Amino acid sequence: MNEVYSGAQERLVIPGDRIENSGGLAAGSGILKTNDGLVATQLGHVMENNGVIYLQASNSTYIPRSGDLVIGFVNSMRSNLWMFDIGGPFEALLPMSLSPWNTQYGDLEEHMIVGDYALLRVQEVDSQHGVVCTMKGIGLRKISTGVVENIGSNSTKLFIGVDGSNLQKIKQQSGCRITVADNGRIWVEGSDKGISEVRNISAYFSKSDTPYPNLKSIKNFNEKMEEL
Amino acid sequence: MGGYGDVELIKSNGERLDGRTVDELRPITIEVGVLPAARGSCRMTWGLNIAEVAVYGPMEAHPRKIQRPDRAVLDVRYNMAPFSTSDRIRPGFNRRSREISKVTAEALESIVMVEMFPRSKIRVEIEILCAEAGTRCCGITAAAVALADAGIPMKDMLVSVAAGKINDIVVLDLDKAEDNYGQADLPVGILPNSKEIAFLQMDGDLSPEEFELAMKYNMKAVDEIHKLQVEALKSKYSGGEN
Repeated sequence: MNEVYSGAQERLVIPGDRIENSGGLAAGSGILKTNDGLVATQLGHVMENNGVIYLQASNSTYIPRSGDLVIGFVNSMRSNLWMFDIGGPFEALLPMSLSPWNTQYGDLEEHMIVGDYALLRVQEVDSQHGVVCTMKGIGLRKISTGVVENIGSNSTKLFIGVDGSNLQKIKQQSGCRITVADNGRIWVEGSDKGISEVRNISAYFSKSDTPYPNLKSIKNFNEKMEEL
Repeated sequence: MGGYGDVELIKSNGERLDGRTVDELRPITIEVGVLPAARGSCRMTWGLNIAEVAVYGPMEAHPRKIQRPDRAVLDVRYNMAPFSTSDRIRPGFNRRSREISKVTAEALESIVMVEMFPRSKIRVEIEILCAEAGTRCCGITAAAVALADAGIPMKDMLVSVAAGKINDIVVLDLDKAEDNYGQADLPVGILPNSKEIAFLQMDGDLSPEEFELAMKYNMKAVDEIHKLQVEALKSKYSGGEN
């Protein structure tokens, strides 16, 4: 990374701001390529990675992608499928054929009802943003213990930290088992005290003003950990 | 407007009744993230106007008949609170609020990248808590900030401001007396970076020269207001970095 872009990494932009691109980098997510150059489309920090300049949005809606691990809750049901709220613009479908149970048509209530949480994987997203999930896979299950917290899909990188360093520390300190989903929800299992600690930390991350790991966020995180 | 042009609105020294010069804005403040339940929000004061805007979504558009297969729908609701003026406003939609909601939605559609969210809806609620004059400009400018705060992809910000004519003189940003007794009003919505015009309305008559001057004042004001938008948004997220 050259000096220009290490400076750009810390730069906060708002929609419509022109982004300097003297290095001929490709436009990534959150950046619009126009005749006048690159333009930011969201409020966030300019980042650069592998020849691509992109925006780490400060606040944005979770957009599901195939393969994402998500935590959702049942919003409604049909005779042969559950409809999950996964925090995106659209509900996600879980057909009974992709559930881990041998379910009969019309008997879905035996396994999950409205309000139940589950750990799912996004199987397919079509061009119309229709989302199909699966519960067949290692670790995918109905969530019946612990708590689910929302930290926002932008804060997951910060929560996990560089090479999982933050997450590791949180797990060690709280003694809890933590699963971080791509849609910004975390599943915490453990003692009441441990869960309370993780909730405190997750509240701190959801309010953080730097949604990516940098020196400042690491320092703030360490201070927060010492407070607990 | 019309028939009231003889009311003295400019003093002999060239100042307006509130002491402003002809191309001076009323005091403006912008605050971001004021409503914790909303995805994005903004509180804007512009003179005596106070507007609060909340943005929710993108979310599944209901009823389904309003869904568009290729883009999101902007569901804008402009409303003046019953206590916003000295005459109590009857709660609920009226013809004026419907018109302003429609104008605002169409202006915001020119900046929001609606094609990124097919079949969905973005809800924008504009509530005017205190009204003086220029509430639509205040609402639209605040709505653009709230949309940016919500992380909705936009190709530019949007600033709305109005110039007008009082006592045969073109002035910027009419206050209540000037709006009631002036001769013309020219609210516009402008994209501050590209200077594209998103909407333009005109009430009353302006000569081509007066129109040019009014647009010149509007363009100058757009840059001033855009700076305030940028400062408000950055102060929430920069954490002292910028």
